[in-house]
Amino acid sequence: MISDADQAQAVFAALADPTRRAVLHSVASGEASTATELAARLPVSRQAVAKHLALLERARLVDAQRAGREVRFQATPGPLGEAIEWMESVGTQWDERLAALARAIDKP
Amino acid sequence: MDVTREITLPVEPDAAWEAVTDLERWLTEDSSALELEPGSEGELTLRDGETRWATVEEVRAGEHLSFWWHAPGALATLVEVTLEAVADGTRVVVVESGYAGEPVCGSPWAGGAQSGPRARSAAAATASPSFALGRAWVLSLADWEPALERLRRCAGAVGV
Repeated sequence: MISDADQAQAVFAALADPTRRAVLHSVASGEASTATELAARLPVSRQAVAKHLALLERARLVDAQRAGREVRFQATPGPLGEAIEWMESVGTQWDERLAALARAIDKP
Repeated sequence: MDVTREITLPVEPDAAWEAVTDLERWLTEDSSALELEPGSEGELTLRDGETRWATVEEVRAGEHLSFWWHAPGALATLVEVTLEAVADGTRVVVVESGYAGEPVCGSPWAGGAQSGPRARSAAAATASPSFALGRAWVLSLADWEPALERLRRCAGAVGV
């Protein structure tokens, strides 16, 4: 089972690379949807684009659709929202811990 | 990518440090599970019942405590607790970072080769800050609106 934490970290790791962000941006904005189209727009090889797309797909940030001989990609924003939700929950846990720290100071 | 939270305690830094380093007063079930010295390791049971394997990174008395930790099978993150004297007491700032890091293999829960927290620290340091660039383009994508709305709401509290 993949935990929320792992899924969130996969999303952040996928977004940590500037080329992958450029790839995702192009796919999400509809400028390009195949590895060949992306390689034509970005200063990287088709092979490099394919690797970035595979990683984005593993993080569920893009969805691959086979159309004849080519594979078309489209952006799927859901995991980004889930990752942000998970980060918010981590923040809430720290709020609770720090509140406990404040109570501990009040009652040593 | 990191989460930052802070609180100001109405006491001098020495008293705040004493409370912070007595982990069972605010974080864990049992303070004896982790000796607060660089390199020491231990299994923590948190007050909410979760478990973490922790490795102490740095301890500067009265000022700073940091440790790596991870849940069973999950990636490690770095927790840094910093104390600072302010007019009305002591500000305690917690930063948890490293969410774009590499899988951890240096603990009994992960199995496999030892990679060590310092190696992970270097990896996380290069991976995390670049997400700041991510936000700029994310905000330009109108069709990601629901996710963006949440991002805007928590942007002040969650460092992206």
